Amino acid sequence: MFEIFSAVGGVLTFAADHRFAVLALACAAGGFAAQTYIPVAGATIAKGCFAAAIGLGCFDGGYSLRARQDRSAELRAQVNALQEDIRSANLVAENAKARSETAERRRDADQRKVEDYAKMLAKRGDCPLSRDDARRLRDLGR
Amino acid sequence: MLAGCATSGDKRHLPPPPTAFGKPVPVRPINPGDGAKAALAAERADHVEANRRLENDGAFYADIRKNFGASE
Repeated sequence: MFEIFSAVGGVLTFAADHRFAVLALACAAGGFAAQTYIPVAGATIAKGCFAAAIGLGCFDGGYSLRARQDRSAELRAQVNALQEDIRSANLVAENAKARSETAERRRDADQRKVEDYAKMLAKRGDCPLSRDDARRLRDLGR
Repeated sequence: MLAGCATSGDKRHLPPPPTAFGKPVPVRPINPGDGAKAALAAERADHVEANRRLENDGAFYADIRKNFGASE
């Protein structure tokens, strides 16, 4: 499906770039028609048509070249923006990863301290929570 | 000229958030008979962990604003 759209897009882009070539061809055809079918002023009209066709043909060359250059510049700008995004995203991700690793290390250290403290309290004796204490504490934040 | 009509890639590609981004620290169960001091220590450790996550999330957001041109 993408290939079809891509091909159609390519054809449309080509047609848009060479719209003045179509006019040039029309002028040339008009010139031939004038030469063939107009008896008196046909030659003069044909010359004018051919001159217009040459002029439009030259303009079309410049126009399509400029359109291609504009498209290239647009694509280059998009590529540059994407590269900048990727660079920034990598930087942010690296910072986030470093912070996460530090936080994880500190959490593990804290957890070990809590476990050591709990073990020490288990030997020495801790004041146990009554049923009412537990209920009141569980109710916090509900 | 028509090239100007081409769609410009103005959508920014942000990095994925860190794994703990916006995740809460789970509340520990409390049961009758648990040691009060041990429970306090565990709760305090969780509190510190929650604050650390908030700080890291804030730093991540600040990084995004700094690197992706978000204005005030």
